[in-house]
Amino acid sequence: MLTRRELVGGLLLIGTKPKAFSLNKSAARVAVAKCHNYGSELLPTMERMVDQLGGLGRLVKNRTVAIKLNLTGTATSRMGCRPAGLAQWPHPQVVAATVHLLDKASARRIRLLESPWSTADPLEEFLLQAGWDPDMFVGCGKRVEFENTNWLGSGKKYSRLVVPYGGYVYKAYDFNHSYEDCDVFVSLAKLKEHGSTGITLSMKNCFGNLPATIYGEGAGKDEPSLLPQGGRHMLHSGKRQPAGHMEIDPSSPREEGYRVPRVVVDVVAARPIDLAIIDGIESMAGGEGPWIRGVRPISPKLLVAGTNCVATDSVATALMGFDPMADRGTAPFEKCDSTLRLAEAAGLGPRDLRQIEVVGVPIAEAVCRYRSAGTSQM
Amino acid sequence: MYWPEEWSDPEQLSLLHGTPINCLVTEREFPSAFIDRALRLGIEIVLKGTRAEVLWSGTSGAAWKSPAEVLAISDGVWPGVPATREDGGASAGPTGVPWVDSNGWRIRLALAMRPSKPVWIAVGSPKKVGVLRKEDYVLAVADAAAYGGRWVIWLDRELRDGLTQRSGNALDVWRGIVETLRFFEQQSRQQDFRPAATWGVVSDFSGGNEFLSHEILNLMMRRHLPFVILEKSGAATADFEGLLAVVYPDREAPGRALERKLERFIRQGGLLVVNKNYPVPRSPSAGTDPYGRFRIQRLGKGRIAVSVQDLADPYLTVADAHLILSRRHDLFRLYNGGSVYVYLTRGDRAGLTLIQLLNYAARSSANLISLALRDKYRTARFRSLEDPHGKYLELQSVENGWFELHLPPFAVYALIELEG
Repeated sequence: MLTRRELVGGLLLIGTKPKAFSLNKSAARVAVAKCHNYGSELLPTMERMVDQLGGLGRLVKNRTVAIKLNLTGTATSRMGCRPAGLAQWPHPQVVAATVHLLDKASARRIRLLESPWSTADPLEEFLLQAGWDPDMFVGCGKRVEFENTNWLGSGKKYSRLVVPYGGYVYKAYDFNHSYEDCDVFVSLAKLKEHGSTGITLSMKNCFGNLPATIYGEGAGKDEPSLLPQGGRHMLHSGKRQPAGHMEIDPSSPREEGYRVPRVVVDVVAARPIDLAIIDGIESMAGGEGPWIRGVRPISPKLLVAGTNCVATDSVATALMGFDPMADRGTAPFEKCDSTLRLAEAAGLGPRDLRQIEVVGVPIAEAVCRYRSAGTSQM
Repeated sequence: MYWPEEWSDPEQLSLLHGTPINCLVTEREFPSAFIDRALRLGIEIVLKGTRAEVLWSGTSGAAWKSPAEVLAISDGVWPGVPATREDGGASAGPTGVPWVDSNGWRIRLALAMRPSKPVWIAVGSPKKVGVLRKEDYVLAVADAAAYGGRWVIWLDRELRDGLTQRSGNALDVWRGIVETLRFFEQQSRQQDFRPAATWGVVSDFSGGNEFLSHEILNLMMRRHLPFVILEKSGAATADFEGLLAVVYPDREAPGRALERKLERFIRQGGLLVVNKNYPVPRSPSAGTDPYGRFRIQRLGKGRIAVSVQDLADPYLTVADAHLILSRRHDLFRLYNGGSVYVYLTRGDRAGLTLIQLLNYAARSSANLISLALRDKYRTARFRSLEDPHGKYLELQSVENGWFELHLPPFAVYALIELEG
């Protein structure tokens, strides 16, 4: 029998059958490339990588492609004087190149998505505030759109997507319609460590798929709030439940090192990643954003891409100088459970490098040890 | 300066020797020996409430047309980041940026309503509980001076006692106040500068329109929107040069002349943001704002955005207006700005622009601040209270044709002089 919370929270979804996407369990191949800058070398490098992965045409031709960006924090936060694209965000040239390549592969429509911190303002305005020009991306494709997915946006209802394996924390999650209304989903992330989950790569990027109107600090208790406010702390702390949902095991630990990795895997399973791209040309070490004390610039000069997100993130983890087979208590997962292990256990893909085909530059030739490189700017 | 009641010994006037302070405000009569000494030192004494030349008034309900020479604003604030949470922390707005208390909009409003007449900020004691630091005093001076006003210096008990005893700490605070005053005295040419504006706010700023129009000014500062204040009765003949958008929040329709002027402004490409009952000419719809709070119509080359409901929330009014125009038209952007406000003015002398930055947190941040500018300049000289002589900064070209300055740290106030 539905509780009142579930009944009221589900009112927005009346008549909607919860959708489950199929998972890509094909053999894991990950492309690794060295790229020295975001200039003329970038596009040819990315073209070579997608060729190494078998091309994009079979994946995106005549389809709607959604790209989840990794624009964490506010539009005006910087590590020192470094623009966000050289630190905590994928660089705009990487975004532009991705849009261009998808368009070139005959994607019918390309939609850029992000849930910017605590705002429902149009995504284009958030980009402008950060000093990016949205026209730069519009010019890369025939039909390029933007959506702020931190609220209902242009949709009429939220999309409830089911976690195929039943879920670690919740059985299903509610998303902005854009995550359902796409044929192909790309996670475009930055190569970084993370204060709560050890690493933040293509999978953790998807934590931001979830709207703060339901999962945020200011979210309504019985129904979504109209506007987003704050971060998704209820998912970190478990102190309250999102409208319309009841946790699978309310007695499970209320600790973010336990909860966040599990939510990440649930979200990725509910809305699978078809293509993972990770910008590691210029990045930051020591944390996921300038608000983390001790972060410092780092220049791995790397790009990573793959069609299986677990494999891609595992290779990326190794490229950062960590062991993807590590678990809680071992770097980078000193304070948390391993997202990679949980994802592998859920059947989303392999984290053992022996089961992953790395094309391009071998990991051993490309490793950039995040814990020992760079100098603090804070 | 509010002169402490207990400082009736003429010798205590030596504290003012060599400082820019030349006027004392008192609330009681002082002995004739004290007054004589002050006059010999060229210091004027104003007994509050007795001099017709000084109008003591809040910005709320102010008698703008008063013939008084000086307007002493009594409903101002001690500038800073107010601690309003029980744990002493600052409260924040919807996006987490702390609220800031500033008198800037009050001073600018007073100068717009009474051009060229001195404005004092006469707040007296702060609401803040706890010890006032040197930076709190420095900020109070700077917050008024940057916008063209003067803060009537008020000293708390601890500082008064310390100065009486000539304690090192108290003298250091006093030096901070005096050096800040001197810094601004040397910038006298600021009076020849006008606000650089892409926004205009037209209102009578009084009566039923007072709250909304005043708060709009306050929140425009918070949002770093460069604006000019246009009093309604004179707006029909005011210069709209450079404006991209005008906000007219008043409930009453404008007079015919102003209505025609605003329509011309729209037709030439401007954006007009108005309240619900504004007499909107018949014109094609151009949709709504992202939140559906404004109905937008196209008129000539421009647009008029009409509030669907009566405008009641100034925060949303300013945020929505900014979105409708778009951040594409921002003149500058601030990165790691925190509680810093920016005030842009342009000089009568062609090619000179001043950017004043006030840090309402009143302490240097560990986060380096970058200022991005839309327009190109030849040189940028950075000066601060820590480094009054200053140095030239490199204007770095960045993407999209903008330029950036990476600013040295400063605790309270900095000035950037841009040429070219």
